[in-house]
Amino acid sequence: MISAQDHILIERFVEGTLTGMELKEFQERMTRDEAFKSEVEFYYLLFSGIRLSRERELTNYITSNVHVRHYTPRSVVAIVIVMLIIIGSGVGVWNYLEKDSATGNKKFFNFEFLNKLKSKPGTTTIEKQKSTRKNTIKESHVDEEDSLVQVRLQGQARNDSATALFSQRNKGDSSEDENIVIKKDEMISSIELPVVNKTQEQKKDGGKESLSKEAVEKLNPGAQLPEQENQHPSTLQVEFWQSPVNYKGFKLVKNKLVLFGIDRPDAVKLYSLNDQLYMQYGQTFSKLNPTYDYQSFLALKESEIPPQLK
Amino acid sequence: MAGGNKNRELIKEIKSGNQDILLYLFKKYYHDMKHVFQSRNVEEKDILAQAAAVIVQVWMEIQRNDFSENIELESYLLNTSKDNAERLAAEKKANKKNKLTDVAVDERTPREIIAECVNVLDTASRQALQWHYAENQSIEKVAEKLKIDVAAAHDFIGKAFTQLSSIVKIRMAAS
Repeated sequence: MISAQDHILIERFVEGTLTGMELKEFQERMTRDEAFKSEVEFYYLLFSGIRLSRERELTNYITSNVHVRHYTPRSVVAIVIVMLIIIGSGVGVWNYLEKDSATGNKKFFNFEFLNKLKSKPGTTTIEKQKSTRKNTIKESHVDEEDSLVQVRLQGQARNDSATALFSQRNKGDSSEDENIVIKKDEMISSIELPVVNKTQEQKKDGGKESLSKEAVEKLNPGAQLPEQENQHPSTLQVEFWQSPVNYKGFKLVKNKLVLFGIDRPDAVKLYSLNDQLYMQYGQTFSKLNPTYDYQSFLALKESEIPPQLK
Repeated sequence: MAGGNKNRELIKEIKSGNQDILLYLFKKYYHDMKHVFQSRNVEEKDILAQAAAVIVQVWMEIQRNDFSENIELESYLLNTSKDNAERLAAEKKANKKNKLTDVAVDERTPREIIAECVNVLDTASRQALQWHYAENQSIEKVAEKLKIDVAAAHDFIGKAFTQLSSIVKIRMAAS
């Protein structure tokens, strides 16, 4: 049986605080007394066991109080898939809401930036011009196009200036593209204008020749003399348009005249003389020839203006 | 200098027996220790427990020994992790060898049996023994924690120790 004194000595020995003479005596006693030695060994084991129990208790304290996430390959894959779905939906919604004002098309996963990268520098301008030309035609002629006009490329001259506008637009970065609002051609008014036939007036003035022709026709209808054709109708449907690029010109198809750049529609007068249509705008006279393409107004010089029109 | 001051404060807190420092150290150094264990092929499922064991080991070594407050905690923890990982690897290798030679190995050591016996004691006795013998806390401090006077604490620890030794002797005899 270990006494209280021995208990303290063993405790100090195990702790390593026994020194000097006390330690020497203790070691000698252990050599001499086998029972004492085994008791010291037992104490050593007890202290060691107590330490182990404390270590385990504290380890449990840590592991139960902290939460560490373990990512298995399966959970990582699941997280990646969820993230991709979230990002994909975000991109989808973003593109869906962003409506391209130029074409009216929704840019849904069109990956436009890839097309930009792929396209060669030399071909870029041409492709852009083509696309902008198409767009311009679409915008400005939705109301007026008939079947013929749809087939042909129209408004060449107008498109040149419109292309310039679009080219400028294309030069800007993509973010600028998003913000640019493209103005469209605007129809100011549409009226029916009479075409004053100066030829008939001329005929009235010099009616002798025409009377003789009429007499020949009546006397000999079998001669099949060419019938008098009225090249220009008595009225024309005239549309006045305004272009955002201040284009000035016209297009004449059948009974329809489209005029661009006319600020005062009431100052426009139309005349027909010798199968030629003339337009008077203020003091300026211009010849109007039938055309599917837009043409600029060609003002007549003073000397070129037929005296009948003056 | 701020880092050094923080280090000293932490060691002071460990020496005073503040258990919250264990959680703080774990949260701060877990990922570094994890890399040490991973680089030495410790199984993923064991890393959490091993890292916690390292924190406790360092915490108790600082408490039990009169270490200077200038020791670098991070290096201490990472070096201990490295040592433990290497010891684990050696044990694993030895276990494989034993399995191959078909040598029966007793899984529980006497130390572990005693640790289990400590848990049989009532909470107060267990805590008193652990504070005094495992954490090297003085009788006065244990008395303060148990809210009894020093002489009573001395008696209480003595009785708890006798009780534990009896239990261990019975358990050892049985096994």
